Amino acid sequence: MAQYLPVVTLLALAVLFAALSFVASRLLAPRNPTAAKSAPYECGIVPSREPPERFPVRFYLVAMIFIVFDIEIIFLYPYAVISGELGAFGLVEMIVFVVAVFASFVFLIANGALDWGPSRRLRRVDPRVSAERTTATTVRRVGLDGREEAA
Amino acid sequence: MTAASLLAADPLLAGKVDLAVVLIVALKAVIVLAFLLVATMLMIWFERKVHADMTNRIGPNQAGPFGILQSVADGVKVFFKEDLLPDRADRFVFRLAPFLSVVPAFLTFAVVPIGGNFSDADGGVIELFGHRTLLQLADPPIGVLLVLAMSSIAVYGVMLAGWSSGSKYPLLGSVRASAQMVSYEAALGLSTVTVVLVAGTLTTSGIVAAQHTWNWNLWATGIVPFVVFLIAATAELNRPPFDLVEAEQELVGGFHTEYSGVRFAMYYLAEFMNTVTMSAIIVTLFLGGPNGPVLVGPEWLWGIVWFFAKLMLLLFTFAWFRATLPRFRYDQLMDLGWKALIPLALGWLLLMIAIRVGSDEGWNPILVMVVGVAALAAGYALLVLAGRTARRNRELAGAHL
Amino acid sequence: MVGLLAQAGEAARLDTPEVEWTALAPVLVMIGGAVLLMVVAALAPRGSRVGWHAIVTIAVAVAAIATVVPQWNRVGDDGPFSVVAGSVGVDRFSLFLTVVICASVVIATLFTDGYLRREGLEGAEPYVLMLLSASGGLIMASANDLIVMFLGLEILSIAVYVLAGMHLRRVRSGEAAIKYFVLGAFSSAFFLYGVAMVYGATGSTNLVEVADFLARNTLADSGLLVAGFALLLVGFGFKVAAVPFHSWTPDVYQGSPTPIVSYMASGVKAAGFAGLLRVFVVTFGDYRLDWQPIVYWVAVLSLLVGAVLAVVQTDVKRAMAYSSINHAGFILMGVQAASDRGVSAALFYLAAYTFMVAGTFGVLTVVGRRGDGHHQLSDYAGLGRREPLLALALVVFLLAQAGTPLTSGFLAKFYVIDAAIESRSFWLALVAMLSAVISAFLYLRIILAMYGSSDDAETADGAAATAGPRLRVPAAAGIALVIAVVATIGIGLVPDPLSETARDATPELVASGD
Repeated sequence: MAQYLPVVTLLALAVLFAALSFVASRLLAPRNPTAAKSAPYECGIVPSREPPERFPVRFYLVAMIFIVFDIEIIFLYPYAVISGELGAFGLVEMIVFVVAVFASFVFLIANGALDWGPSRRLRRVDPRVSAERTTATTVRRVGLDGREEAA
Repeated sequence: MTAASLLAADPLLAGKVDLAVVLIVALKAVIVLAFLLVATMLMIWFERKVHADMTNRIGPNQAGPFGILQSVADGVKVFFKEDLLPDRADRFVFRLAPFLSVVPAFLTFAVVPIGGNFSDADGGVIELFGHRTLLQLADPPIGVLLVLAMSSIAVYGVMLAGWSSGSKYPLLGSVRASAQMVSYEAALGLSTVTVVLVAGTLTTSGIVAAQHTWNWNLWATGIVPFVVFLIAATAELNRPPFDLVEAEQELVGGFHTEYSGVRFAMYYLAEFMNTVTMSAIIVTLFLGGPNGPVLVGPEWLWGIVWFFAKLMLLLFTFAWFRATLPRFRYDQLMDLGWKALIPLALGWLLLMIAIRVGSDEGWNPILVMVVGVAALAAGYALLVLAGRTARRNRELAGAHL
Repeated sequence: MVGLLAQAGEAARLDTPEVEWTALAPVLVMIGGAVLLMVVAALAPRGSRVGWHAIVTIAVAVAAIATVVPQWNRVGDDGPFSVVAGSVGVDRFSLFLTVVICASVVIATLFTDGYLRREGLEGAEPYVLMLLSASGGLIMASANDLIVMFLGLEILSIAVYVLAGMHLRRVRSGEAAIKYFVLGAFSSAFFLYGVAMVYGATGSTNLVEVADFLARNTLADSGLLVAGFALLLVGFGFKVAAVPFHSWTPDVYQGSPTPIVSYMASGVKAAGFAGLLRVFVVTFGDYRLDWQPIVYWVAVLSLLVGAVLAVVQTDVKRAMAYSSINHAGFILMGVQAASDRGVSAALFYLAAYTFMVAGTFGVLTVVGRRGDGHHQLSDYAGLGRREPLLALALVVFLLAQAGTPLTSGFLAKFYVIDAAIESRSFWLALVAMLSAVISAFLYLRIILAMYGSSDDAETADGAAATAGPRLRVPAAAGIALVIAVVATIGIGLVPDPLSETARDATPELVASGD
């Protein structure tokens, strides 16, 4: 574990640096909070609503799908280190594993689990809006009935 | 392979840990800390200058020669600014969050080898006060995993900052940010696996040692993982063109809207420090770390020189991205991450594994290539089909509305 | 650390086990079929009228059964064998249960198709999950290692948790899924803890090595091992719905979609007993004096609680849930006997029970009507007149469950009681017969409701007239009912093929070849 000693040292130094900065700022900086300053920032408008508690389910989906991939990656690391020693056996096992994950990935994508764009709607065709209908076909020229052919 | 495995530890800490060793470790830690702070300050200045040049402006030019002390001036100023704590904030978490952001930014750099000659059997080991050691702070056997772990922890800093602010825009920004960082972390991890596969070790020194004699992972892994890693790293850093977290037009300042004074400075620092660190990681993983030709003068110096030259190149690239590329839309961002980068990295990894195993087993390389590429094409076709099905189903669902 | 890594670098190859794919064929067919169905169904256009999801599912299950045949012969010629470094064993016991579980999938699928159409649900997910769950059951049946058994248990369970909540628009379905999931997760944890204890006591999770160790050594203090027995029993007892681990059963059976219940009561139960028999009777056979009393009392409680509480229910689905607890008690008698005769009696019971319980819940599916909510006893009033064939089928299944001669149920009960008497558990046999009498009352009550007296029938007819049109029996469900009726009566009339097969199908533990 001695190999981690420098990391721990650096961790201590980094925490110390951040903490000292905060202490210095507390000593140096002025402090006179007002109600307006400590209200939530909303571009100058007095906040009237609580921040949302519910989020689109897509974010949760991303979190869950990420776990699947994270586990896959974690499984891949040890394999990558000793892939040479495992040979063809390892290759077959990896392919089986990756195919299983990939199949579920295809399933997810096909079911729109990773679609972020707005749901594209087919506009129901309104009979009043179409290319064939122009002013020439819809506006009736009063007083010209039957006279165009004659003219 | 064997040589790389042998290097799985810093010789400094392999033996008995006495006071001298602890002092050397402390010295190295202080140097890393100071280096990171100075590098970050310079990076901020450098980026502003590059960005200004590219957009036909002058940029900072008042503080010091070429305005090089601008960041110092900003930093000092920030200490004298009032540090607000919003009413609605969760006080403990609000104070904790900047630590979670800034500390991982420091720690990642611990595993980066910044110098040393990796071309001989010594593998980058140098003499320091009569002790043999690597020119990197720490070389734990899990090396690369530490980098990924730290980038995972950084997500907490962003997420908790937004959540604890008790305000609308930070919350929205932080949820977006966590989804984004989490998504691209998968791509980041998958492209790194290829490097681990080629090097056969998780330690950063081993990965660098495997790249000496111009055998850089950039081409040893076939460019694709590098491209994926670069894009994913940019997204992971929330830098343009993936800086939706701080999309001013939509979210004011994103997750740190409610932060001010020195706490805000911490986020700013962490962001740029992460850029420096991530560039250093890319240099280590793909660009051969300190490897490079020794021209004149002492051998140990050239490793450091090459390392910094490569680092500068990447930092410039990041600044360049910022100046040229327009911001992505959120759905484009998620689509790129999930539907392009992750499958690409995964498929490429499998292809690499197949080729390596095939050459070990003595299979026909052409056959392996053909089968591998065909399998990748089949996977790609499935993905395209799936995307099409999703779009059609969505249109059908839309028609019902 | 350094040295270790260096050595690993020099050792060119790790020892990798030989994987004999043909021996794993049933599981591979099921999992492969499930994955293929999942992908293809996700990519295909939605809302096709042909029930091709169901057809593919049945084809996969039948293919899995087909792969059993050559292996059955191979085991007959060469004896049982184990594969994948001794973690999976192939013997006639596992092959027999493979067929039973696959058959339960086939029947449940036939009911599911009509059910999904009626309820306006779509998608291939129920079929995919059923296939995956069944593959978990197959793994349990052939597991030769406690960890592999746990793996099978989890694959089996997690899919069924989702299946229980398959009916998105019914609140009760979701409630059932949550209850099943929470309690099931607990029981899995118990099971895993039991595995840890057994490992602690014997130093291995491989069943062969555990049995070897127990045969060669006498434990000075068997406390750890017995605690392991108890915890493993909790895990299995939960899956087979034995008292006192039964409390989820009524709620889950009542809330879950009825065709899924038919699978739960047959396939899941068979898998649970597969694990129970292999681990307890075979592996821990030398320690039977330690676990037999526990199983004895679990069996007594299951028999009595299941029978008594079934009688007082007014909801038929709930009553059938208690009745399935009662049946679990009967099968546990075979386990408790811890003899070859007990094992083959339990296997015979499982096979016969699969058909009758699946058929019962199939009829319940049809009678449940749209919304799956008509399961009160009063909904069955007059069914004998309105739907004579459907009612007749239900009568056959209920009589079989009651243990009437000339049906499979009679012989099933006869064999397990016979096994109990052979192992000198006379009181248990007496309790079993008593509980059979009590639960017969329940079955007769349902039959009486269907063919009730005329004045009841008139009001019932009136109610039926307002309730809506005639019951529609989908063609697939009809086929499944015919299969189940034929199997139930056929096994009752000509039991010898099945009972002889069950006698052949004794579980054995085989060490890996190398």
